[in-house]
Amino acid sequence: MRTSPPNSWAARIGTFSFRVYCALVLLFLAAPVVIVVPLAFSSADFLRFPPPSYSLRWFNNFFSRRDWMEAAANSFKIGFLTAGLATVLGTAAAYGLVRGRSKRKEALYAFFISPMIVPNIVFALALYYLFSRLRMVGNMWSLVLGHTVLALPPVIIVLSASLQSVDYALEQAAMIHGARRLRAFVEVTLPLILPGMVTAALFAFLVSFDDLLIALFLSGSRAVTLPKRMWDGVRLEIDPTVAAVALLVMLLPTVILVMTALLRKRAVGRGGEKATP
Amino acid sequence: MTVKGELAAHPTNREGHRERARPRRKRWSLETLILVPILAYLAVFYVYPLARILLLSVYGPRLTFDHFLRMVTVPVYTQVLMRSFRIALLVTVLSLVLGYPVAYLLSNLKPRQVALLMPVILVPFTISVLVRSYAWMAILGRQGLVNTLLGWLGLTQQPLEILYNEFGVLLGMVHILLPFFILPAYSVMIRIDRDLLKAAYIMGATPARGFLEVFLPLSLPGIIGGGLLVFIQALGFFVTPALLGGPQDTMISMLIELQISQLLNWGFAAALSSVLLIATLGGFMLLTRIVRVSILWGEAR
Amino acid sequence: MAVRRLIGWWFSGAMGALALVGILSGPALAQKGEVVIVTYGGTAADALREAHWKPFTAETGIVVREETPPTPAKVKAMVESGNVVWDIVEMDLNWIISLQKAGNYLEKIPVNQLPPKYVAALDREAINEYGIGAFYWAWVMAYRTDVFKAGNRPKSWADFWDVKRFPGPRTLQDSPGSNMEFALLAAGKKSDGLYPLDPDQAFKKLDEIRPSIKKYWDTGALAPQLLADKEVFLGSVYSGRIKHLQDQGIPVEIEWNQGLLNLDYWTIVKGAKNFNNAIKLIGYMLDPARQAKFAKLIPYGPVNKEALPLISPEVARQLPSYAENKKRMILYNSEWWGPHREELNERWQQWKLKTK
Repeated sequence: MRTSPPNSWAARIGTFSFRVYCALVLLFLAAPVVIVVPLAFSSADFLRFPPPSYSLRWFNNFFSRRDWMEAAANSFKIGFLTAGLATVLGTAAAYGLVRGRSKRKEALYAFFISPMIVPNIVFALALYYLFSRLRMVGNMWSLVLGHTVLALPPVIIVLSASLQSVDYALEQAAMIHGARRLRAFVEVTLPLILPGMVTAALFAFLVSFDDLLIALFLSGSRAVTLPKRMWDGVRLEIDPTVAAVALLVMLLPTVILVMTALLRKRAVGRGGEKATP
Repeated sequence: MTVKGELAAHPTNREGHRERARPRRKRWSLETLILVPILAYLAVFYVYPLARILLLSVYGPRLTFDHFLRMVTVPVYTQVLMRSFRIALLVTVLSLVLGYPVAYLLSNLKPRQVALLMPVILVPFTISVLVRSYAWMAILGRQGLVNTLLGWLGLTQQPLEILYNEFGVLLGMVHILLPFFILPAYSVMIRIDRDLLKAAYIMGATPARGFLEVFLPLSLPGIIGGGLLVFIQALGFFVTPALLGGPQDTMISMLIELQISQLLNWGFAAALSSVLLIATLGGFMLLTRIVRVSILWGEAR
Repeated sequence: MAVRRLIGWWFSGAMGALALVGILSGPALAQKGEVVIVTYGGTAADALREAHWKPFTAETGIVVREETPPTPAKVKAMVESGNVVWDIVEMDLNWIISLQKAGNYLEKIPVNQLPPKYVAALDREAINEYGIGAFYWAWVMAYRTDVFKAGNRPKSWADFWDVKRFPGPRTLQDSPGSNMEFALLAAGKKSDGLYPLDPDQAFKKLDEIRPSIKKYWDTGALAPQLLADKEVFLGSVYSGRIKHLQDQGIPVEIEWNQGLLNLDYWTIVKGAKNFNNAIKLIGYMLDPARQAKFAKLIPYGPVNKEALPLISPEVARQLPSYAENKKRMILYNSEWWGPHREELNERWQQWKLKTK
C-alpha cells in the first residue's frame, strides 16, 4: 500500500472508479454462472429469458432418460479412473522433479505441463488417429488414457507444491534411523502429502469430467461422456435439459473447491509444513 | 539402482545399524528412475500421436507439401488463419485491460480479503468451458438476458445482435480466459517488494509515477506471462467460437474438426493442426524464456 | 491424524466402489445384444424411439444404442480402419450412391430376411439394394408468422431471396444439397428444368443471400431452435420438425410450395458387428401400425402403404407424401447428387468461409 495516502479528491475519485471497474470485471466473471439457475428451472421448451414459469421437468428428463444417465455414469467412471492413474503417475513424477538434482528440472517441468498448452483439438485429433488404428474408439479406456495426459499437469503442479513444503530432512531422518527409502517415503512423506494427493486427484477428476474435445472424437456410442451428451444436446435438442444438467455439473467443481480448501486448512499448522499460496 | 543394492553397499556394523554415508553419485538414482513411468506414458500417449499427426501433414502415401500449399493459396483458409490470430490477439488485449487492474487490486489486499474475492475468480474458472459458453448463449440471444433487460429498461427498440457474431465470440472467450491472465499476473505482483514503492514516494515521486516507473516494469513478467498464456490458448479455442460465433467467425480449430468430421481430409487437417501446434509451442517456449514457468503457480524458490 | 486416515479410507473406498461399478457394468451389456442406429436426432429420434425402439427392446431384449449425426465420411473411416462401431445408418439415396461408387461401404440388404408381408406392402422406391426406406420427408421453407403477417407471407424461394420485401436474418442448411436447388429456383429456373443442376449459377445466386444468413444449421434441431428463439425470421427446415414448435404455440408456418421431397433409407455398414440385430430392427420398423404411430408423433410419410389407412386425416394432411403437398414439391434427384456430392461439399465449405 502507499505510504502517502492520496487525499486530493481527484485521487479519491480515481480510487473509487478503479474499485468500481474491478467490481464490474468480477461481476462479468461471475454472471454467466448465475444465469443457468433460472434457465434450468424454466418450464418453457426453449431458451427463453425470463422463463415463463418454473418447473422441475428438465431435471426429471435428465434423471429418467437412459442416455443421459449412462453418459453421467460414464463420466464418473472415466473420471475416477483418470484421477487414479494421473495421481499415481503424477506423484512419482513430482517426487522425481522435486527431489531430483537434475539440471534439466525446468525443461522437464515445462514438458510435463505442456499438455495444458497444446491445443486440445490437435491432441484430440492425434489420439483419434492413434486409437482408431488400435480399434479402441468407443472404448472407455481410450478416454481414460487420453484424459490422464491432460490431467497430469494440474496433478504435478499441486504435488510439486505439496512436496516442496515437506522438508526432505524428515525423510532423511527416517532413513538414518534405519528405514529403507520406500518405507521412509510411505510412512513419513506420504501421509504429509496426502491432502495434496487428494487435491490433485480431485482436479484430475475435474479435468476428465469436463473434457469435451477428446470425448467428441473418441466417445463412439458406448463411451459417451456427459460433456459429449451435452454438446449433442445443445445442437440436437431444443429443450433446456442441458441447462438443468449444466447446473448440476456446476455444483461438482464448487463442491470440489470447497473440499480442497478444507484440505488445505488441515495441512496448514501441522509440523513441517508451510501453507501453499 | 535398487534399495537392496544400496543397502549392500553399506553393510551393517556391529550394533546392527546401517551406516548411512553420503550416497555415492550412482548412474541411475531413484529420483531419475522414478521419472521413467511418466516419461514412458507421455512418450506413448502424448508425444507419439502428436508426432504422427505432424508427419501426416507432409507424408500421406508419399511426401507432399500440397496440404500446406493449399493453406496459403486458397484465400478462405488463409483468412481463417488470419482471423484466428486476430481474435486471439484481441482477446489477449482485452484480458489485459480487464485483468491487470483486478490483479493489482488483489495483490494489494489483505489475505482475508483475498480469500473472500478469490472464489469469484476461481469458481467460474473450474466450471467447464462448455457450460459457460452455453450460459453465454442464453445471455446474448435475442430473447436472452441482456436483450430482455435492455428492452424492459426501455433502452432499445430492437434486440441487439450480440450472438452468432464476433462480438459474442470475443465476450465469451475473454470471460473464459481472463483468469489465465489474472492468476499469473497476481502471482508476480504479490512478489513485488512494496518497499521499492515506498522508497520512490520518499524520494518524491507521485503515485502515478511510482506506479509507472517502479511497479509496472516489475510486473512485466506477469503481464507477458499471462498474456502469452491467454494468447496461445485463444488460438486453439473450439467450443466457444463454435457455439457463439456466426459462419464468418470460423477459427482454425473448427476448420480442423470440419475437415475430419465432414470431409475426411486427414492430410489437410494434419497440416492445419501442425500450424496451430507449432504456433502454440513456439509461444510456450517464448513463455518459458521470459518467465520461470514454476513462478506462474507460485512455486517457492 | 484421524481426519487424514478418514480421507484416505474415504478416497480408496470411493475408488474401489467405482472400479467395481465399472467392472460389473461392462459384461452385463453384452449379454442380450445390442444394435447401434445412427439418425439425425432431435424430435425425429424421439418419435422413432417412442414408436419403434422402445417396444423393440421390450419385445426382444436387444438394446438400441442411438448415435447422431450420420456422416458418410465417418462410415468410410470406419470401414477403412476396420473399426466398425455403427450398425444401421440413416441416409438418403445420394449418399448410398456416392458411398458405393467410392468403394464397398454398405452391406447388401437381405430382403428375404425381412417379414414378407411388410415387404410386399412397401412403396417400390423404398426397396434398394443397399437400403430399406425409413420415411418420406421434405426440405421446406419455414417462417415466423408474427414477423410476416397474413397477406405478406413468403411463398417461394424467390421470396426467400427477396430481402426487401421480407427483411430479416435467415438460416440455411450447412450443405450444398437443397441450397443449390433453392438458389436455382429463386433465380427463376422451372421445377422440371432444375436437374442437372448448374453449380456456377447456383453459387452465384447464393452469393446474394449470404449476408443475410445469420447461422447455418448442421443438425435438424438447430433450424427450428433458431426460429423459436427468433434468431432468424425464416429458413429452410426439415418439414417434420416444425410441428413440435407449433404444438408449443410458437408462431411458425411452413410452405410446401417448391419444397424438396426426399426419402431416407436404413442402411447397414459393411462389417457391422450386430448385423443380425440390425436386420431384426429394420424389419420391426416396417410394421404399419408403428409407422402410423410414428407419423402421428412427427409428420413424416410412412413407406408401408398399409399404414396410410391407419392415419387420421388431420395427421395425413401434414405429411409430405400427402397428395396435395406432394404435388407442390419437387423430387430431390439423388441420382444426380450421388456422383457430384464430394466435390460440391468441398466447394460449399469454401464458399461458406468467404467474407464477400
